[in-house]
Amino acid sequence: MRRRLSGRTPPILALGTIAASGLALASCGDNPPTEDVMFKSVDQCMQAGMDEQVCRAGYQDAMRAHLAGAPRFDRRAACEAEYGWAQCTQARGADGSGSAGSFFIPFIAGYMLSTGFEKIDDYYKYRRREEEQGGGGGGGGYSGSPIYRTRSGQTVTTTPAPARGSQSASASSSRYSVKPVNVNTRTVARQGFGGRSFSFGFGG
Amino acid sequence: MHRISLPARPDWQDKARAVGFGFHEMYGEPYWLDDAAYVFTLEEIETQIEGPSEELHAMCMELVTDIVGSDEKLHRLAIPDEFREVVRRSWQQGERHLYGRFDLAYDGSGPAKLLEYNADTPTSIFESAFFQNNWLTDQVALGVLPANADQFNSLQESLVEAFQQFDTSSIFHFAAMTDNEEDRGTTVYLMDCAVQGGHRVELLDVRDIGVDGIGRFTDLKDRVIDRCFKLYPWEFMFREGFSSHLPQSGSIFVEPAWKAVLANKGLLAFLWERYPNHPNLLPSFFPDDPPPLSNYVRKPLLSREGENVSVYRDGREFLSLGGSYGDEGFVIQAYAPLFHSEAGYAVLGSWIVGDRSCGLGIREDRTCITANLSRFVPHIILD
Repeated sequence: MRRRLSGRTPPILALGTIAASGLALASCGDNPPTEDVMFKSVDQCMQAGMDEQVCRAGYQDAMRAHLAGAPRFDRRAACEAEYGWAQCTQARGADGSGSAGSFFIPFIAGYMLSTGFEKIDDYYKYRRREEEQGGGGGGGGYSGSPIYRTRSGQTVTTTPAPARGSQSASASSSRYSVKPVNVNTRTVARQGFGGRSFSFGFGG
Repeated sequence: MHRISLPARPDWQDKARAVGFGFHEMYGEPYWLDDAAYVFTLEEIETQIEGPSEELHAMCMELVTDIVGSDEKLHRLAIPDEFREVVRRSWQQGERHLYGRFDLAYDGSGPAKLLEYNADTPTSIFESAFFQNNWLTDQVALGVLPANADQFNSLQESLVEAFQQFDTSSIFHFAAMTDNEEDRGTTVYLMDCAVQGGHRVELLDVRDIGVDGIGRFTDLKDRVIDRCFKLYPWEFMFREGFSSHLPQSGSIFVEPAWKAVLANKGLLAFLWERYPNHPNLLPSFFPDDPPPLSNYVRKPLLSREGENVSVYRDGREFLSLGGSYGDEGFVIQAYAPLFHSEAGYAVLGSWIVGDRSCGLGIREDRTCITANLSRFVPHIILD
């Protein structure tokens, strides 16, 4: 029987239904929760009510990742073209990665932590799981990752992962790729789209 | 191509309910037909639908380069001046697209003719990809259809594959007018495919999209939106309050801004101009370039669900639907006969996912303008 056009993989619904009763369909996975928050410093993290050890551990991991994997540029101008004027600094390769000599990297804008970590054990458990799954968001989390802000305001992180499908990879060091990451911000306006609200749908 | 009647699955309404397909009835009328089907041969599908759709899509993609490179053409499509650059850049940067649906006139004789390309906000994907497939499996299991009955439908696997091409590092947001059941169901179905493609997803209402102090779009948890599917037309987004943030942040959306060019019915005139007499195209013109046609259809450049479409026979208006579109201009297209039976007129929806022609969904209406009271009828391939 020639069955070329259907039936190879019968369709299933991962969510079980297309009737979303609420709008809370986020993070269908398990822990860690996806309420990732960016902190600019350990102090700011503690002031937000996070555990001090968690704040410090996350900061240290982010700095380690920053030193090893910050986006690198040969020239200051190239770095500033991406990250903005006066947002880059000169650094020197000393990590044995073969990229010795000096280059330019952006300043770190902050680091991510999940608000779900109540104590340091939670954080370590999360780190272990991330490492098992390839790290750098491989498990779906960005806690302990450095955050950079591009010139256009987009927040990105750098991860030691293959750049598969990453459309925003730029001139980072070869073992790292730059990825956008949802960060917290402060919304100043809503209702800017959707004004044509008659009851019919907009599909065609 | 022909239409058959067959027994409905005895429990199909329960099955619809179980998967949340509430809009199998809309506006108090049945929308999904379980007891009818269109029948094609495999050769018919391959040579008349699949092949031509693949070719039409390639032609359209080639045309986008022409159109975005011409201020005059973008003007003809009523893309507001200040967003030409948004459209152009989204194309030049290769912003990834997900899916679209060609509406084709085909009655079993002669080549299928392109009526329009729903390239920005197509609906009926759940019915085509999922429920239609279940219907076939059930009808074969019930012995109503023979075991070799097939369907032009690898939609869901293609959608999952297409979603896998998008970066999975950020949350994939999905925005729709969530108070509309059909739009919401369509969107949640696509979210499901995204989940199967490895994404974290979140649904939000189009009206709940926010913006932060530096012009980035945000969700209800005050997170920056990095990628957002939207079942909401670009032509509205260009004309609403947050449009001023599109030059900076418009690249997060799927479908991307360049799809505004393909979803516009002015495309039909540009296609005819560039590929005159192509077997799958109908003569189409802008109205200031009066066509030598007596049987034709006048469509607004931007219109949905048949609104403001008029059919002319022997140069006279024969049928017309009201609506709120048409301010941006019209296009004129030669009339093409649709498949016609006692049940009404049928339009073939031929799906493109990524760049692949991979499925079919058929809608029927009592008149030859397919509107929002049309019905979805499943199809099979039988040799």
